[in-house]
Amino acid sequence: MLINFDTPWLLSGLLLMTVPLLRTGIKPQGYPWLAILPSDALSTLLSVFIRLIGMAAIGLLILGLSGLYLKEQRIERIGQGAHIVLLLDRSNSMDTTFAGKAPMNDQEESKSSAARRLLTEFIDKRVHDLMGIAEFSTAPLFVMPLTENKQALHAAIAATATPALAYTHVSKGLAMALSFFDEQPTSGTRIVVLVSDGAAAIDSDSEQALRTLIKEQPIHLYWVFLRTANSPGIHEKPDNSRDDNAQALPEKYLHLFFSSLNVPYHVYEAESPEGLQSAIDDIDKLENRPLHYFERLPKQDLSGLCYQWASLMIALLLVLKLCEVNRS
Amino acid sequence: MFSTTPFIYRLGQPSTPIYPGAHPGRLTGAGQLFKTHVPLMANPDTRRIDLRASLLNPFQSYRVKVFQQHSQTTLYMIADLSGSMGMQGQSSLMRVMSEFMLSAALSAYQVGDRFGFIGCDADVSGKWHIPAGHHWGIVQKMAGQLAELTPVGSSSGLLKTPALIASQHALIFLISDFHFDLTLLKALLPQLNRHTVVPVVLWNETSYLDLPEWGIVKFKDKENGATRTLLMRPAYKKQIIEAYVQRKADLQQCFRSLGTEPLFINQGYQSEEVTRYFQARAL
Repeated sequence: MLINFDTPWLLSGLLLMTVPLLRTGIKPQGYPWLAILPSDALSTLLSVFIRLIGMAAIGLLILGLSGLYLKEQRIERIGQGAHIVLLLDRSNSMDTTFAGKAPMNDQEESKSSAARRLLTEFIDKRVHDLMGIAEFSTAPLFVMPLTENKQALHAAIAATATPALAYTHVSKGLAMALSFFDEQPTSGTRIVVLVSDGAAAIDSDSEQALRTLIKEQPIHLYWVFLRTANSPGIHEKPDNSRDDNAQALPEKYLHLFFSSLNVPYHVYEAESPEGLQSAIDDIDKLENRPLHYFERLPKQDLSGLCYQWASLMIALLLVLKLCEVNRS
Repeated sequence: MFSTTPFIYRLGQPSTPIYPGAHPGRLTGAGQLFKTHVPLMANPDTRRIDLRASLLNPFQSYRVKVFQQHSQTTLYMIADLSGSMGMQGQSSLMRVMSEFMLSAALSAYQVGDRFGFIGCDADVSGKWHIPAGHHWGIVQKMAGQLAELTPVGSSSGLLKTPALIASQHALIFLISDFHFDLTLLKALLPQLNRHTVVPVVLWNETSYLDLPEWGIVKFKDKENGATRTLLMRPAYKKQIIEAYVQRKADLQQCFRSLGTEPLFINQGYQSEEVTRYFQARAL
């Protein structure tokens, strides 16, 4: 049943719908002999119509009073797209520009605001995708579960405008991003887009945990690396081989870790807003596959609609009443 | 009290009662109109001996002239007091009925005839019954009550009225709106065929001419309480008027097939109309 009522006992008032069958509210005038009046289809139609309107008006009022509503519904849909979780870095460094400085004037754009702007566009472009947003800093932040609601996603993206937090803790963020896919039907591609400007070493425990999680949830992983000028790149080869470790070059080792996960993985090194734009366009192009998903429609209160129709019916009855000729 | 004007009526066939009155009768006696010759022994009135007829008589006996005696007759009024007669209007049917009753009673009493009244709705009751006779006071009282009456019920009691009428020839005014099935009429009229019946169709013109051109009306049948909602419009009003015209033709056809001619009264009672009716045809 899709329809439900707030106060179902009021439905017993529907019995009142029989009243218009007995009385139409038109004052009868005496007539000597009805049988002599020729039968008239239009008049018969009118009297049926008046009764129906009366019944409808009472019925709708009762339905309105009993609080008719449409239950929450899930609608099955098929679209082009994917399940995408945007995993955003909220570390301090995201509030700096690509040049590694705090933005001084309106021309300079911080990495987070560039990401915000471009991701908003990205969300608008992906019509049928289910998107979720998670953030991470020292601890992961649950922002928005996988949803189709673009308005909510925009709001969630806009919320990252608040000043950033402390450090970069990728592994916990990633684990949270993966948890978004729990209890979701396995249809369409599952994508995690990691937007960060740096990385941190992943300890072996969390590395193991992530490997297990990713085995359970096969995903496509995109890493948009917002590289600050003069920071070590992904493919950096240090002069000193002793510097070639996870602590010194966390980005490189994160890249190596991602590469070793045996899932489709791509990294984009963006050193400017334009680079970020091209990375996002690339993802947009790559991930367009048929997707099977359920859309949730919230509970809808229908009592207002009932009252509207009831008042329409009553207005109709009033018009008919005004058409009545009464000479007695 | 409204003024009562009598009408003049006459009978087509000679009346039978032995009491002298105003109508050509079957009996011989004191009268002006020569009827036949009879032997002196049959009518021993020497003043009336017709010598010429006696001489011409091959049996050589005296022939005496006899004259037709004018005799009395009886007027009955059978009134349908069913619900449909309760139509109010500028001329309420019960008021017309009451005027007709007074006028008929006066007309009868003027020429020495007897007048009786039988009112009926679903049944006949003693309340609305005046046996034939000369009861001007009672007639006046009942006419007053009739004008105030709000009738109810059906007109099925009409079938019981013939039993209340003496078998001697009478002139019967059958007053009703005849808003019932014609089969009732076809059952009633043969029971009255020894009498002269004048059906008086009492209609109120307002019930079909005075309908609105446009609008919604709901009519409730005065007799069975059924209701009908009508969407009035000029075309439909025309249909209703045509239905009444058709009904009038049907009634006329039905009455004529049963040997009477109906008198339609649509716009209040006028005694001249009744007089004209009697002058127009020999009953």
